[in-house]
Amino acid sequence: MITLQEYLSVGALLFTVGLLIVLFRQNAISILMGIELMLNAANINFVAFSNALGGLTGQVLAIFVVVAAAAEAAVAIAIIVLLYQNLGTVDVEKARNLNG
Amino acid sequence: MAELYGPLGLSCLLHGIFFPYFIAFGVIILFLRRWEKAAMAVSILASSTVLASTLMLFARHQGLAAGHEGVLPAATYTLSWLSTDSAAFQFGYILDPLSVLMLIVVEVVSFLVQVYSIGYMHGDPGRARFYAYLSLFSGSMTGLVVSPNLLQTYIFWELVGLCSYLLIGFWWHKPEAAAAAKKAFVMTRFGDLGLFIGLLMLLHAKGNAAFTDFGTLGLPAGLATCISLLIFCGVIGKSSQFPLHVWLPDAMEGPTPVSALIHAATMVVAGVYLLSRSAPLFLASETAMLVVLSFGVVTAFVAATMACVQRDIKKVWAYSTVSQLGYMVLAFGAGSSQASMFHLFTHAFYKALLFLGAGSFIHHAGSNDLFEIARKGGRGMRITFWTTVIGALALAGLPPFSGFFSKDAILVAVKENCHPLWYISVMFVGFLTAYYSFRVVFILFRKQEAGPGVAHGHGGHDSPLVMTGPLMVLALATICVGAWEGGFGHYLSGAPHGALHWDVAIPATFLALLGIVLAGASFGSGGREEGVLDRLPVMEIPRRKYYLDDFYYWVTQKIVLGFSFLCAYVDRHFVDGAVNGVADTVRWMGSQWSKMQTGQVQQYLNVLILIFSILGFGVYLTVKF
Amino acid sequence: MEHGFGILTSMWVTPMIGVLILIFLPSRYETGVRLVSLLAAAITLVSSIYLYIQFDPRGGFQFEENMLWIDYFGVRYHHGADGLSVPLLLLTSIVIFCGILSSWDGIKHRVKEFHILMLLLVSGVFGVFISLDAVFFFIFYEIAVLPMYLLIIVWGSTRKEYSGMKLTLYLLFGSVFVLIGLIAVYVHTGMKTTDLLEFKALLAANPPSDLFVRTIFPMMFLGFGMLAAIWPFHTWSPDGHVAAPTAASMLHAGVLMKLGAFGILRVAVYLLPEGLRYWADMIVALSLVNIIYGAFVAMHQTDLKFVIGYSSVSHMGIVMFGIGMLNYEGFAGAAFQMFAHGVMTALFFACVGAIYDRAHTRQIHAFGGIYRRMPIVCGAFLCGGLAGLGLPGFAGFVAEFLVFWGAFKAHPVIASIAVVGLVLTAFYVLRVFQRAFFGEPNPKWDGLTDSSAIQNTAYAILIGTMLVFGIWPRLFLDIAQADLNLLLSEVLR
Repeated sequence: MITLQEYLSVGALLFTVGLLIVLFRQNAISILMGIELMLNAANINFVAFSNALGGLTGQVLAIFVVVAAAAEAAVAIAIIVLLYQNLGTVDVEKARNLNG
Repeated sequence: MAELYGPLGLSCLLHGIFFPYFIAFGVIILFLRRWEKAAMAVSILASSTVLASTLMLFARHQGLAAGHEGVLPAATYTLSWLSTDSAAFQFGYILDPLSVLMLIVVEVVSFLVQVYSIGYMHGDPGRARFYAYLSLFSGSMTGLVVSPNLLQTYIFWELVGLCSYLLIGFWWHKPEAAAAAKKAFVMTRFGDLGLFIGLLMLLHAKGNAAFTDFGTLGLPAGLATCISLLIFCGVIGKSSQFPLHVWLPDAMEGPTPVSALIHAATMVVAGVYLLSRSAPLFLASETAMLVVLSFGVVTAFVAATMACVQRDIKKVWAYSTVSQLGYMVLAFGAGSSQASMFHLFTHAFYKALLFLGAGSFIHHAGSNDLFEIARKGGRGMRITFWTTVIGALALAGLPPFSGFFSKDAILVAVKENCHPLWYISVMFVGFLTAYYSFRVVFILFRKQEAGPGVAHGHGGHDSPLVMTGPLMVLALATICVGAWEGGFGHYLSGAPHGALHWDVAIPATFLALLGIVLAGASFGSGGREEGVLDRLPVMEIPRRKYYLDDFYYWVTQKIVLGFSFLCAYVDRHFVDGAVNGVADTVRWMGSQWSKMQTGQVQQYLNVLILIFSILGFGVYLTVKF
Repeated sequence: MEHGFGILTSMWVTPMIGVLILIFLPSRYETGVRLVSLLAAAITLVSSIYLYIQFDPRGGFQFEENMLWIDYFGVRYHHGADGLSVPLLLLTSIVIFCGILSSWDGIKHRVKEFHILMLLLVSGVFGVFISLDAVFFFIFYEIAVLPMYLLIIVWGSTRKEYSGMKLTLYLLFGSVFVLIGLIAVYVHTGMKTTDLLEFKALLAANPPSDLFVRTIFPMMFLGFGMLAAIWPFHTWSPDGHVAAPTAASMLHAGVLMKLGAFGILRVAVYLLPEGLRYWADMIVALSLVNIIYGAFVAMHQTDLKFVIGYSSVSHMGIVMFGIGMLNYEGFAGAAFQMFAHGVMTALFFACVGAIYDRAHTRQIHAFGGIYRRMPIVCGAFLCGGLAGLGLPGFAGFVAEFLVFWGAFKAHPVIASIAVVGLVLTAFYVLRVFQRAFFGEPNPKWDGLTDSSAIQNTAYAILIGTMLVFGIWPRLFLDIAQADLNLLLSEVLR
C-alpha cells in the first residue's frame, strides 16, 4: 500500500523539477513543459488527497486542472509561435519588451 | 406722516418720477438701438413726463408747506426689500422739502440737457445709446434723490457712477475717453469703499439706515465721528473733493451735455445732497464737521488755482465745478446745510448753463481750446456768448445773479461759525473764481481772426434753437433763482426769511470785481495768452495739477501693479510650483522605480519565489515556536 | 419612510436619457444632436423652475424620495431638496441650457461626444445637489468631475493636456479627503447606514469626540474646498477654465465650483457643525487671501480667460468668507453668491468663447476697439464685469453686500480689508474693458462679426437672471432663509 506521504513526496519532487525548469530554462517550450509538470504535481496531490479522504471533489478538480492545462498549453503555444514569428527565437531572454 | 398727503399720498406722482426713465432705458436698449429718432423721442417723452410730475409734485408740496407750521415732515413710501433678523431694508421714496428741491434740479437740468443733445449729438452714430445712458442716469439719479435709507442711496450712488463711466467713455474709440472713464469709476469707487464700510458700521451699530432715524440714533461720539467720516469718504469720491478730485477734469472727455448734466449739475452734487441728508449724524460730531470744512476749503482753493491756468474751456469749468463743490462742502462743514443746498441749487443752473454754452462753442469751433474758439469767432455766437457771460457773472458772485446770494449765505455761515482764517481763505477763493471765470469771458470776447482755416460767413451764426433754447432757459433761471433765497430757506428748514448781510456781501463783491479787473487787464486787450498770474513761478504747481496725477500714476503703476506682479509671480512659481514640483517628484520616482522592471519574467519569478520562500520559512518558524 | 420616485429623480435621469438617445443617434446628425441635448436641458430647466415655485419656503427637505438600496451597508436611494439646493438646481439648469446655446456653433468636431459628456456631467451635478445619501452623493460627485477631463483634453485649448490632468488629479485628490471623512463618519456611527439624515441623527445621539470633529471636519472642508478653489489649492481652476471649451468653462466655473461650496455646507457643516465653529477663523483667513490675492493675480493676467479664472478664485473666496462668518448674513450671502457668481461667470465665459471663436486669440493686448465690431458680445461682457465688481442691480451686489455685512458683524477689521477686493475687482475689470474693447479700433479685427441670435438668447437669459435676482433678492432669500437659519443654529449651538 502506497501511503499518502509517498504520493505527496512524488508530487513535491515533480513540482520542484517543474519550478526549476521554469526558473532557469531559457527556451519558452521548456518553460511551458515545466509549467505542465507543476500542474501535474498538483494533480497528483489532488488525487492523493481525494483517495485519502474519500469523496470525489479532488478528482473533479484534477480533471478541471487537466482542462485548464490543455487550454493554457494551447494559448501558450500560440503565443510562442507568435513570439517566434516576431523575434525569430523562442528564447525568453530576448523577449524583454516589458523592460521599464 | 403719510396722512398729511391724503390716502394715496403723492406716491402716484413719485412713481411718475421714478419709473419713466428706467422704462425708456429698457425700451431703447432692447428695441431701439437702430432707430435713433425713435430712441430720442422715447427718452425725451420720458423726460418730459418726469419733469411734469416733478413740477406738479413741487406745486402740491409747496401748497402744503404754505399751510403748515415749520418744515413739512418727511413722508416715506416703502416696501420691504431685504430683511434678516438683525436689520430690514425698505425700498421706496422719501418725500420732504430736501428731496423735492433736489428733484427739481435733477429733472429740470435732465430735461434741458436731453433737448440740447438733439442739436449737440446731431449726426452721431451712437445717439440711441447716448439717450439710453442718459435715461438710465436720470432714473438712477432720481432714485438716489428719493431714497429713504443709506442702502438705497448706495445702490443708486453706484448706478450713477456706472452711468458716469458709460457716458465719459461714450466715445469709446478715443483712448483718452476710455482711460478717463476707468479713472472716474475707480477713483469714485475708492471713495465709495468708505461709504460702504460706513453703511456696514451703521447697520452693525443700529440695524437700520433710514434717514428719518438719523436724528435719534444716539450713537456714542466716537462711533458717530467714525461713521460720518466714512460717509464723507464717499462724498470725497463722488463730489470730487481733494485729493480724489482728479477724475473730474479728465471726465471732460465725455460729450459736453454729459459734463453739464452729470459732472456739473447733478451727479457730483449727490455727495453734497448726501451730506445734507445725513446732517444729524455729522452734527453730532464736531471733529467730523471740522474735517468736512477743511476738505471743502482746501478743495475750493486748490481747484480754483488750477482753473486759472487751463486753456481748455471745459477744463476751466471742470475745475471750477470742483471748486464750487468745495464751497458746498465747506458750507456744510460750517454748519449751514441750508446754504450748502442753496448753493447746490443755484450752481446747478449756472454751471449747466456754462457747460452747455461751452458745448455750443465747441460744436461751432471744433476745438476745446479757448484761444482757438476765440479765433474762430466765439464772440459772434450772440446767444451763447451772452448767456455764458450771465453764467460767469453768477459764478463770480456778482449781484443780482444767483451765485451772489448763495455765496453770500455760505460766507455768512463761515464767518459766524468758524475761525477767521477759513473766512479769509474762502474770500480769497472768491477772488480767484471771479478771475478765472472772466478770464474765459475776456478771451472769448476777442475778435475773430481772419486767416486760413476760418470759414467766413460761419462766424456770427449761432447754434440751432434746440441748443440755444436750453441756454436761455438756464440763463433765466440763473438770473431769477437767487431772489428766492428766503423762500428756499423757509421751505427747506422753516427758518425765517434771511436778509442779505452787507458786511459780508460788500467785501465779497469788491473782491470779485477786483478779480474781474485783473482778468480784464490780463486778457481784455491784445492777443496775449498769458496773464499776470500765469507769470508767477508758483503757478507751476497748479499747472502740474499739484502733482497728484503723477502721484496716483505712481501708486497704480508701481504699488498696485507691482504688488499684482508679485502675487502673480508667487502664484506661478511658488503655489503652482509646489504642485508641479509634487507632480515632477512623483514622475521622477516612477522613472527610478521602473528601472527595476527588467522585462525578464524569469527574474520576476525568481524574486517572487525567493520572497515566498522567506515568508514561508518565517511562517514555519512562527508556527513551530 | 419610503417614498417612491418623483420629480427629483427626473432631474438627473433626464440628462441621462439624453445621453442614451445621443448614443444611438448617428453622429452625422449634428443639429439633431444639439437639439436633443438642448431639449434635455430645457426639460430640466422647466423642472427646476417648477421645483423653485413649488418649494415651501418654510424649509426642510422636500420632494423626498427614500428607498432602501443595499440593505447590508444601509445604502439608501434618498433624494431631497432644501432651500440650499433648489436655487442651485435652477442655476445648473440655466447654465447648461445657456451653455448648449452658446456652443451651438463653436463646437465643430465630435459634436455628439461633446454633448454626451456635457449631459453626463450635468446629470452628476444634479445628482450631487439632490442626494441625501453619502454613497450616492459621492458617486454623483465623481460623475460630475470626471467628464471634465475629456471635455478639456479633446475640445480644449492652451496647454489642454496639462490643465486637464491637473484639474482631474486635483479634484480626485480632494475627493479622497472627502471619502476618508465620510468613511470616518460611517464607522463612527456604527456602519448601519449611509443616509446623511440618519448620520446626523446618530451623530446627535452619540456625539463624536472633539478630536474627531476637529480632524475630520478640515479634511472634508479641504476636500470640498479644493473644488471651490480655496487658496492655496486654487491653481487648477484658472488653468482648467482657460483650457476648457466655452460650454465646459461655463459649467465648470458656473456650477462645478459651487459643488465644492455646496458640499461643505451639505456634508461637512451639516454633519459636523462644531467643526465649522472651531475652524471658522482659519476659513476666514484663507478666504481673505482668496479675495485679495485672487484679485491681484487677476490684475496681472493677459489672457481674458485667465482674468476671469482668477476673478472666480476671488469671488469664490467671498463664498467661503461668508461661511466663515457664522451668522445668517454671511451664510445667506454665501449661498446667494454661489448662485450669483454661477450666472455671472457663465456669462463671462460665454462672451469670451464668442470672442475666441471669432478672433482665435484671447490676449488682451492683441485686441483694441473690438466694441465696434462686436457691440453685443462686449455689452454682455460689460454686464458680466459690472456684476463681478458688485454693481447694484445685479444679483452679485446683494450677495456681496450680505457677506460683507455679516463679516462686519463678526470681524469688522477683516471685513474692511476684504472690501478692498471690490475696488481691485473694479480696477482689473475696467482695465480689460479699456484695453480690449475700447480704444482705437484695431484694423486687424475689422472682419469680426457679432454674436448670433442663438448666443444672444443665452446672454439674455443670463443677464435677465442676474437682474431679476438683483432687483428682487427676496426671490432667493425667502427660499433659502429657513434652511440656512437651521444650519446656522446647529453651528452655533
